[in-house]
Amino acid sequence: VNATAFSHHTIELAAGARVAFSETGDGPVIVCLPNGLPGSTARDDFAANLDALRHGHRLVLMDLPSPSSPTSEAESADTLTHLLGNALERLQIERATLIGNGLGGEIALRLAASAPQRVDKLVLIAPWGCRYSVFTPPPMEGLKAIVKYWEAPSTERMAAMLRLLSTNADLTSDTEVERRQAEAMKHADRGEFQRSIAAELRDVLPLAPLVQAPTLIIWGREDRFGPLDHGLNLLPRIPEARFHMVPRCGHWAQREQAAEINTVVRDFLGGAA
Amino acid sequence: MNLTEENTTRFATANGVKIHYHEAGSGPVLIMVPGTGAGASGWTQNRYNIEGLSRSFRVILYNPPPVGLSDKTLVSDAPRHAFYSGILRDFMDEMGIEKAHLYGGSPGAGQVIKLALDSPERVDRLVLQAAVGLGVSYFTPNPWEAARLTQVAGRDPSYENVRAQIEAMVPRKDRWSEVLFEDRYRGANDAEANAARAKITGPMEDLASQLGKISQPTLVVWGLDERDAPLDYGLKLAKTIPDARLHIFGGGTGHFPQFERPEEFNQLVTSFLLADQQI
Repeated sequence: VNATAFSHHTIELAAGARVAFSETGDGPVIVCLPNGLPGSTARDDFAANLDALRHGHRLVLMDLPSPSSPTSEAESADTLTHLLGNALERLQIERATLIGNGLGGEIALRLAASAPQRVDKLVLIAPWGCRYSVFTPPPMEGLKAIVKYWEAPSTERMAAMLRLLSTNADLTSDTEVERRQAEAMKHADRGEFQRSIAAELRDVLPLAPLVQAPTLIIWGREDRFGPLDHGLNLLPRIPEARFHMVPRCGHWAQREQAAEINTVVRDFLGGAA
Repeated sequence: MNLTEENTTRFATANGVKIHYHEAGSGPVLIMVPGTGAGASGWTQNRYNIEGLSRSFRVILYNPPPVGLSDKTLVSDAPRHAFYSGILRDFMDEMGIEKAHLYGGSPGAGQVIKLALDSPERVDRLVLQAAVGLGVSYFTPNPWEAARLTQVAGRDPSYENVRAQIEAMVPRKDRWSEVLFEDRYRGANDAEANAARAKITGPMEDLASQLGKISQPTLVVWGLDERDAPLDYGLKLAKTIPDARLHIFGGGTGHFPQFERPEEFNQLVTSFLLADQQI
């Protein structure tokens, strides 16, 4: 991918909140939202998917918005959803396909439920928001590692978290740890918000029946951040949904098994559903 | 040319056994194996897939005896999956097919799994749909609704009983059609086929303990509104087979995603089988 083809922006939203994004191309809009792990950005989270997504689309890689001031835990996800809606308005995006991983998936689902007219199709890659699981009591170890990281951010805690993220050691190398740690420290002022949003156990299942967009739910078979049965529980609640579980794959599915994810997403976006 | 049951029909004699199959397309070989239950056949199970899949593959809808017009004279008390996978291997030998992608639906999945285990060099990729016979289900009574109604229809294949069975397998009314019920009703009342089926009496082997040895890339396909093959079998397959992915169709899809959602099914299977070429 020619990274220079993307233009990079940061815009101020209402009341001092801000959001950073990169975009390229013209056509129906796809917005990609990152997983919310320390040091993750949309550009980085979807780096292995850009070639598959950009063709024929206006592709927007949007970081999770930063609220202007600390919010209570109960408001955190709603706040991000509201800010995402604001950001789309500012970009004059009336309707978009949303692709979100982890926290970005939860925010995408919340926007699709609260403003269905604004969402074309929805791709949820191991979305957060699982308060109740029958088989793996939340929080799973990955979410605990995020909380622990933000309590006292360090390279060691970053490495400990990343070791849970993926079954592929290349994605958790020392270089990757250093890079992510540096990125996370650029936004250390958001640490408390990040900690609280990872610590809170929210339940998005009651919102799922409000989603009208055709939906693809993707789960890594070896995910240690999001319970598999959360994905299964979403499936019957969303009226027009399908579920795809990928082998040898953790929470960062679109990177770890990029070829397979790119294929199922491309088929889903190109299909008549 | 429109593909029909008649103009795709072919016959082969494999190791003395008459095999009726349907064929269309060219390219990598995909052999689709239906269940052996009353009324199921290659054509009734995959009639809405042969055309779409034949754009990328040489598609063979294979009728294991006594399904369709295949052999009705066999007598066997050998373990069932071994018996059927042996016939399938003989058929591949006769056809000169060294290696193929294999699809198995419902009870048809058993012989496909068995061939992948016993002759891995003959099997490229596997597609397993709504497989049955994998032991205990944690969530559903055994036999489950549609499996129980299948037993009822087996004892008394009246139109009402056959229709009740199919309605339980296909929950969305907008997917019902007279041809769907008629196909099954006619098949269930084929006295010659029923008599032939009764002569194949071997036990079903429990394949659950061997799933971890399957070396092929595998796609497991299920419908969320399935009432025959428990969804936890799908999870068991996809969690135990090392290179398996599980695709579950929501939106009211039942036991037959291949004709309840044919376009999406065809695309899914095509992309999976061609994955190596796309990277």
